[in-house]
Amino acid sequence: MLCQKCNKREATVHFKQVINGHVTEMNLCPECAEKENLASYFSFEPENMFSDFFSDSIFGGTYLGEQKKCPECNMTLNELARTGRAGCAKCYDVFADEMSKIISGIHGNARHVGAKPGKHVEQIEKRKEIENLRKEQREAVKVQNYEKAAELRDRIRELEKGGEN
Amino acid sequence: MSWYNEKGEMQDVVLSTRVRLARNLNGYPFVSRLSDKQADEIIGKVCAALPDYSCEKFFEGNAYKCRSYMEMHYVSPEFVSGENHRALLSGEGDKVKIMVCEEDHLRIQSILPGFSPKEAFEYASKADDRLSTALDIAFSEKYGYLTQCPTNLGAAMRVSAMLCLPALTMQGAIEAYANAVSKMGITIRGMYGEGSRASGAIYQISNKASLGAGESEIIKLITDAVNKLVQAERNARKNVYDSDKAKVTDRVARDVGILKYANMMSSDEFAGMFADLKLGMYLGITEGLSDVKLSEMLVAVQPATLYMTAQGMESETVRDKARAKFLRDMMKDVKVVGY
Repeated sequence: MLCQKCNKREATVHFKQVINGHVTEMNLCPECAEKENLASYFSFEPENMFSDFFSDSIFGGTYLGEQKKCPECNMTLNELARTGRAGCAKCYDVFADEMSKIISGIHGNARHVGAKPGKHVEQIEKRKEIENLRKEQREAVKVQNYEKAAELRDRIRELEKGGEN
Repeated sequence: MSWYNEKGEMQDVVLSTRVRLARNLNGYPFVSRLSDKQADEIIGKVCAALPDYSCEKFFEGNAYKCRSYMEMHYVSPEFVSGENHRALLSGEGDKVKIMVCEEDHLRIQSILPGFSPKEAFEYASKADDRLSTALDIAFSEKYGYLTQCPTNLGAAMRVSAMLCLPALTMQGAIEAYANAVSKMGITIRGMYGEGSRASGAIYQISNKASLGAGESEIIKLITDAVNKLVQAERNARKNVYDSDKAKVTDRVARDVGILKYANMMSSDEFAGMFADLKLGMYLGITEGLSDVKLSEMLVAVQPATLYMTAQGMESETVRDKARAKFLRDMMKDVKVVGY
């Protein structure tokens, strides 16, 4: 999602306010969020804006005291809150809860359904094989060879069972 | 052969298709926290994994070459402006371009002429599979490929197409279409992607997010949107022409005249004419042009690409003259037939 202010950078700060049923929603990049002075929507000091913002609305107030750190890249929770970006692959484990909140803010509750490393060609080949089997199946039906068509149908089903994974 | 000098599907509207896969390595910090030494290590590993690819490293001192690659859409504006150690690998006869240490450790891209997302995906996947066997790619069952910015998680795949939409632009219909495709999860941006303006009525359309969507689903999404836009543009071209034949013909004819005889030409001036020529060719107003020739012209006249062709191109005046000469040669056999 692009920042709704500058339309250039990715929006990583997601803000939602509900007052008497009136919803204000903002999706901003960290730079614009800073300029927007999101703090004015709350009653806290601007310099604590992100820490308070994240601790209240996203990170559940857990980190201010303890400063969790990624052992691999030294990313702190504070930095993660400020940038909305992971420091390394390990950060996704170390800050699992916080990351999960950021990610659900962007993607909802989606889970990965696509390929796995090194499995693309295998999948493409499988898709091609299914396409070929379908063609054979159609031909079998055309010449009324239903036994063969059923056999092909079962093979297609079996191949498809693996899904995209 | 590159996307700009080869024939492709639906090339009257779609200039090129790109599939981009973002990948990162376990055991290294992401690019914004990466040291130059670590970047060099990654570049070395990637080049070793793909020995048949050519590898160009970008540090300081080859800014024009890097910019020229941006004009060819091989690298992003971020890659050009980045200060860390970076590299560009090229393989499969220039059909696969891999940016190393741009926003993610690896950005595997396949760029093809016209509209062929499936083929582009196959090229990118082949490189991805080879890299996955040689390198430890960061992946989680839940989030898919792990990326620096959580917006790219999942298949970490972006399929984009570069579309030339002169008639829809003339009709002021782009915004309405942008809103419509936005509901499908698709973004329309300017020519060089994020944050750039649409010069020459050229737009880039791509999927927004990929977590929760499989590769074939993303390809289908873009295919549906591109088909709709191509149809709309083709209809709009006919409508624009039918509503004022004399004016449209005059506009195209004047451009042809200027391109055949001008002594100086800026890249901005040509960008506007490019869209008219695309329209004029489609409507049969011109003869002697082809979609491939137009794409070739579009890339060749860009400032940095022009700079790379000869010495003395530092001066804008020299470049404008060289651009005009190149275009005069390309337009030599082009005629206006639709008066």
